[in-house]
Amino acid sequence: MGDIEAFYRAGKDRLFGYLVRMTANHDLSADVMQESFVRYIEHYGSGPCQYPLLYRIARNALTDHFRRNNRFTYTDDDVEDRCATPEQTIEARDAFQQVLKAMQKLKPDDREILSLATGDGNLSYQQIGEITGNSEANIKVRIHRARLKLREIMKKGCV
Amino acid sequence: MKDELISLFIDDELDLDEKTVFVETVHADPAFTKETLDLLKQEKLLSTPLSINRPMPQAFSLKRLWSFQFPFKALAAGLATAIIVMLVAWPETKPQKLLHRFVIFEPGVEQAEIAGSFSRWKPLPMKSSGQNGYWEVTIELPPGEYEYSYFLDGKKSVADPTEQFRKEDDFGNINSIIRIGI
Repeated sequence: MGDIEAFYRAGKDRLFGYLVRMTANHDLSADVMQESFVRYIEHYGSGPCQYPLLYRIARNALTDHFRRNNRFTYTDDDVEDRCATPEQTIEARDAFQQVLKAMQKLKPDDREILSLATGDGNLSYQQIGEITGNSEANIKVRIHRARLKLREIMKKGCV
Repeated sequence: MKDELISLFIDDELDLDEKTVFVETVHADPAFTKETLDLLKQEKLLSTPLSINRPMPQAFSLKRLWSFQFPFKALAAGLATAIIVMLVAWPETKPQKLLHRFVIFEPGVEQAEIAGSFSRWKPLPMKSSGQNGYWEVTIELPPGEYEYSYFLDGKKSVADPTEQFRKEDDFGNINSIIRIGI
């Protein structure tokens, strides 16, 4: 049980961060995070803890959610102020909201790959390849393109 | 091609040869340096640390029971098969009730209750788990689908934040939906 608790403690914020960057929605991200851990433990809990597998489950859960709701991208109205942390200054919160909004304007594939690569304890390109089913070389190219697209959206200021 | 070195640098994916090329390019090309700094700034913004305060999902306790290795698993599987055979053989047998632990994290309240279709919407008291803000109650339920919500300080109704499926009732309250044993 101890290793599972440690896995949950170490992984929940990272996974939550990925989901927030994907959806900009606090409650949805928290629900999917928890549902993913439940599915992981139910099906793979007796084996070694594997982050790529956990993220793949989260990715599938999110895809299920998108399909159920028939939408793959959230709008500006969905970006919740609660996605920021209380310790942040108002300026930092605003800036984070802006970048989350810009993320929602990326194509889902670009948003996903950038969400996986970014954040505390980010995943390696090899792990991202395992999660998305792409080669490491492909990931290398796509991550940089996604970053440039995000910068373009931010520069245009249409967020 | 060299541009991609910026993302490799940001993501700690450069090998030694690529590090050499990256540093040389930074020294030789101001535009490359500016792009690197721009993307680093953007990355810092996007990497804003996030945290979520949610209790461990209930399924973990089930996993704990299951984590005893073979031959206990085989024994448990055999026992489960025997129970299933018995249930099929005697269809009139009452469905076995299952214990389900409901938990909510609400550190700011004095009282928490749960009410649902399983209690005919009569509020049942929840127990505070010490000083950590968690409230819990374990209820024995026959397999089935149930609607429920939590009542805080005797008035505010909230859905279970750990359950994804929800439904609005006739009074505008949002209730959670949970399936037990089905």
